[in-house]
Amino acid sequence: MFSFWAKSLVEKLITLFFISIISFSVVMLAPGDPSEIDPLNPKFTQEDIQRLRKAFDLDKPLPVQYYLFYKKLFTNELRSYKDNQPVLKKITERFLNSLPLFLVGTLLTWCLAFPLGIQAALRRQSLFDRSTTFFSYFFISLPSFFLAYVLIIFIVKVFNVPVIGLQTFGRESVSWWYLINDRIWHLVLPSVLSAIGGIAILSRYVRSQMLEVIEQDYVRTALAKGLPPDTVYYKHALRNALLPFVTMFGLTLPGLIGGSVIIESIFSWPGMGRLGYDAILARDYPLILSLNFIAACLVLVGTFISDLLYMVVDPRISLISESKG
Amino acid sequence: MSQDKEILLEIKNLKTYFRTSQGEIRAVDGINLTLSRGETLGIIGESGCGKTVTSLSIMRLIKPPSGRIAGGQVIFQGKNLLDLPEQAMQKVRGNNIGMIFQEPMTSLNPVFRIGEQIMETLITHRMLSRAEARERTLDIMSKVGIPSPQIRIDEYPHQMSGGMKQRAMIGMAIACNPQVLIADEPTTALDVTMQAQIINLLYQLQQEMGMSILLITHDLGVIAEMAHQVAVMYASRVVEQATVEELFRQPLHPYTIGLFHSLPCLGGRGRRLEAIQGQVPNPLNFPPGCKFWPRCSLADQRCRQEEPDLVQIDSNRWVACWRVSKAGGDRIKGLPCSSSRDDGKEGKVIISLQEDSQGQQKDGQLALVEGERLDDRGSALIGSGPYSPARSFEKIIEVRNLRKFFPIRRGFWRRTKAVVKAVDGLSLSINHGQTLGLVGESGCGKTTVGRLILRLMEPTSGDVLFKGTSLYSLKGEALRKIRQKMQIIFQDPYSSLNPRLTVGNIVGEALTAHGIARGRERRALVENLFAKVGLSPSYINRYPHEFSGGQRQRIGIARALALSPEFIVCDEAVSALDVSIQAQIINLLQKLQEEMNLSYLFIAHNLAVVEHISHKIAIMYLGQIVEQMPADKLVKIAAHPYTLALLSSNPVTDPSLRGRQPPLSGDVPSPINLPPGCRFYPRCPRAEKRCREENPELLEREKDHWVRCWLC
Ligand SMILES: Nc1ncnc2c1ncn2[C@@H]1O[C@H](COP(=O)(O)OP(=O)(O)OP(=O)(O)O)[C@@H](O)[C@H]1O
Ligand code: SF4
Ligand code: SF4
Ligand SMILES: [Mg+2]
Repeated sequence: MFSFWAKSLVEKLITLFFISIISFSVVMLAPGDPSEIDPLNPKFTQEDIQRLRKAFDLDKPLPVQYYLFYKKLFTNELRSYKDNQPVLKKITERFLNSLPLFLVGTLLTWCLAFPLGIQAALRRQSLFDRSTTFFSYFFISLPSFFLAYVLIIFIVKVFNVPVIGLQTFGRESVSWWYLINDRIWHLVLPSVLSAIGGIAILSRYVRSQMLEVIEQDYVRTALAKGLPPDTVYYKHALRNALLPFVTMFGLTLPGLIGGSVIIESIFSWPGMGRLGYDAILARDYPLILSLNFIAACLVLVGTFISDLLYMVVDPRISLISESKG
Repeated sequence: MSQDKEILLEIKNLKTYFRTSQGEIRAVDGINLTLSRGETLGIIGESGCGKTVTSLSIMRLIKPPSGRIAGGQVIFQGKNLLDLPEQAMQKVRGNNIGMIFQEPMTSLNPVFRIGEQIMETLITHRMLSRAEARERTLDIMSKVGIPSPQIRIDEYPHQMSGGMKQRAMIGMAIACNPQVLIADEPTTALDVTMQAQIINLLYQLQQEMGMSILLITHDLGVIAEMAHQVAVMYASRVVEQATVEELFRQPLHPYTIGLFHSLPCLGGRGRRLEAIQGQVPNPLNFPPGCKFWPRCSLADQRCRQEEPDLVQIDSNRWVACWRVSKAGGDRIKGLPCSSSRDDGKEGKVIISLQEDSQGQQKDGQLALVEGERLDDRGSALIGSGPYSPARSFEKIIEVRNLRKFFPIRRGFWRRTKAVVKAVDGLSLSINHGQTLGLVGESGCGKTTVGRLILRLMEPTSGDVLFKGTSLYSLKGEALRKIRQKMQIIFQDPYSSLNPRLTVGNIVGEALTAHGIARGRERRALVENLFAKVGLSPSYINRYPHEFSGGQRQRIGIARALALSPEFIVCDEAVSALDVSIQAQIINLLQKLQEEMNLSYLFIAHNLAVVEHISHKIAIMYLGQIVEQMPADKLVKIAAHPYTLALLSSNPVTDPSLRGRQPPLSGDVPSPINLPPGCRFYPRCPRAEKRCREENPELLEREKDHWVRCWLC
């Protein structure tokens, strides 16, 4: 048991180390230099550039830069090239903005996709199954920005509530009740939009998984035992059908840092997606690399959680027998 | 079906159809069966004839929308199960009628504990509390022979062996003391020794609990051991039904007779198997008239037009054949596998064997169903004379002290924690033009030996000589040259052929790869090979999925023959086939051996098949040969306790011997961390103190008879 944890941890750390090197090299070796961000500015003299390069450690050899960069990252001394703000503070701020969107979106996706997929599978070929199939493909093929604009127009016209941004601008001093209401309205639409695609895809996947499982011999065994259909499908079949999604669940974690550039742009939502996008345009290396590193950590933590969950739900993957061998 | 017995389950004119994209499949087409209290009704038939669909229909587990029960009645305790509301039917399933399935590996839910899965039935039907159910489950587990139930109850299916899982399945099915147990091929997936144990368990349970069993199988031996009544199914219909004694004394339907004659039997070497020609028809286009006529040597004009009904011929016998009647005629010949058949007593029921007046026309008629004719060539080519073993003493293959150990690595540093001694000091030799049969339970290392001999795998130590040249010293061109002379035929005719190549390309591939022939020349060679294995050369542009299992195995053989090999490893080459097809392939292999002077290493777990085809037999247990002898002496001189156990585990087609004690208990132990001493010691009925301490050597007991046992 212990050996599994230790091994997994060491493996993940090694992976992280290589990711850090590779992402650092890719960013640094890419053509262009942060100091050239505004080469046409006449006030930018050669000395200024040198001064800048020195300040950002860009004059040092790459390995040294690598070392300095990660040292600063871990001691929270890293600052953005663009506005000299501490990088971690910037990220935290945006992260807190993105979090509700992510949580509500993910919750909506998982809570709706599963019942839809399962029902579609159990009532295969029924009207319900056919219509969910139709709508899934409809939403999968519809571009999200188009849907977003249609929905915005609809909501604004019908309910007459503003939905752009985190909250309605210029009404900071109103009652708390109004404030909460307002925030929720602003949250709903982008969350729903970011969930729709996910629901469409995930429910398809759940359906096919469930269909596969109900064809299995052990489901037939359960029916032959005379168990009520609900027990057969929701206990025997579902537990098996869920196995692959456990892995997927761990992999949603990196979504925390990704965010959707499109949705955030449409709704002027100051979230993580925009932060990364702007950082790339501005060649803000510290920010890009920090985001990159955090994303890598989240992926690894996610896979680790998946492995753990898998062990809980699938007795065939057992650490104990592994170490007993 | 005598009148004095109480009828428990009666199936009347049952019809179950499936809708598929290619048309309607009549998987069960009007069958009648009766099961009496406390008796076993055996249903026998080849793959796809509707056995499983029958059992699922009784339980009403046919899945809509594609499947439906189109008609008939299933009367159980006076009620028609097909009319019951679904809720009431749930109370019947698992409670009044229990069911066991073929594959213990996939029939248990992998994510729930064994105990939980048995308890569930009790909780649902008997309204027991969890604690009570657990108590009962422990009882049931010991009843079905699961050792240390206290521990096993909390294990998951993957922690148990196949036989143990099947015992758990049985426990689940009998938990509520059902009146009827439906067992769909309960032993097919198991080794012979385990099969004997499970049959005995079912037999004991029946004696004890008095339940009726509907036993479905394709194995005549299992029927002989268990059944009281037998129904023979062919192409969705019952073609013959009789008491087991009657049926085994004298089968009457031509198909049943064919089944008996297809079966190799222990001690019956030297005869050709009389294979039924052709194959089971595709349910999408059954032939008109009697569905057996394209394969029946007695078929006449009427058979091709009208389907015979199942009619009572005798008090204990129903047959669906135009040409079986109470009328006089010659008695058909005795059964090959029987000990007591030729007692000279004339049966009352006689088959009339008038000469087929349309004998000449037959070929033209048969050509109408071309697909079904494919295999006929094969059987036509095979002479009917007795099989004459070639005499040769020159060795083609010599294996010297071969070892193959697989390390098991575990833990953080992946250190070798144990080794699996898959093959441990094995020596054998195969003569030119002869067959060495290698037998043993699953996991004893048979396949590894085959692969080592072909050098598909590197041995840990030891050597293999091909005509005196060491295979393991060869490299490059020289190795390639020798490899052409050595080929393999696999067990699974489905997965061993690339589905994206035409069968012509599959067979011809090696010819191009070795630069032997291409273009027109290659085509001619491939057509020739097809003819040789009994396939029509016009099929070379088709794809593997268009062929039946037996035909695919023929393609596999043609592929192995392409490079004119001298030696072929047949790894369970006939194990996945139905008996009638198995007989065809065995005959084909023997014919090819005679014509081309081939040598075979024939790996299989079925002792009767191996005995039939081999010149020499080696019996393997946990990586070592424990006994070796000329095949014709197997039954007479076998001495090793393991060989004897295999011999008596082999189900005999003689109903008078039922209820025997299974010769071996327990599973094959894992080849990891073997005990010192004789490897068979933990299961050996004759083991002594010395056996525990020292492993005996393989010694020549008398000429050509080698045994590894202290007591022999
Ligand atoms: N769900 C299904 N859909 C379509 N056809 C089916 C279905 N189930 C069975 N069949 C067809 O019904 C026929 C009878 O099948 P069944 O499984 O009863 O054969 P079997 O006698 O049990 O064979 P085996 O020995 O291989 O188990 C076959 O032709 C099969 O292809
Ligand atoms: S009815 Fe005719 S074809 Fe059918 S089994 Fe009898 S003799 Fe053969
Ligand atoms: S050596 Fe002993 S344990 Fe081994 S087979 Fe012979 S009698 Fe049995
Ligand atoms: Mg079946």
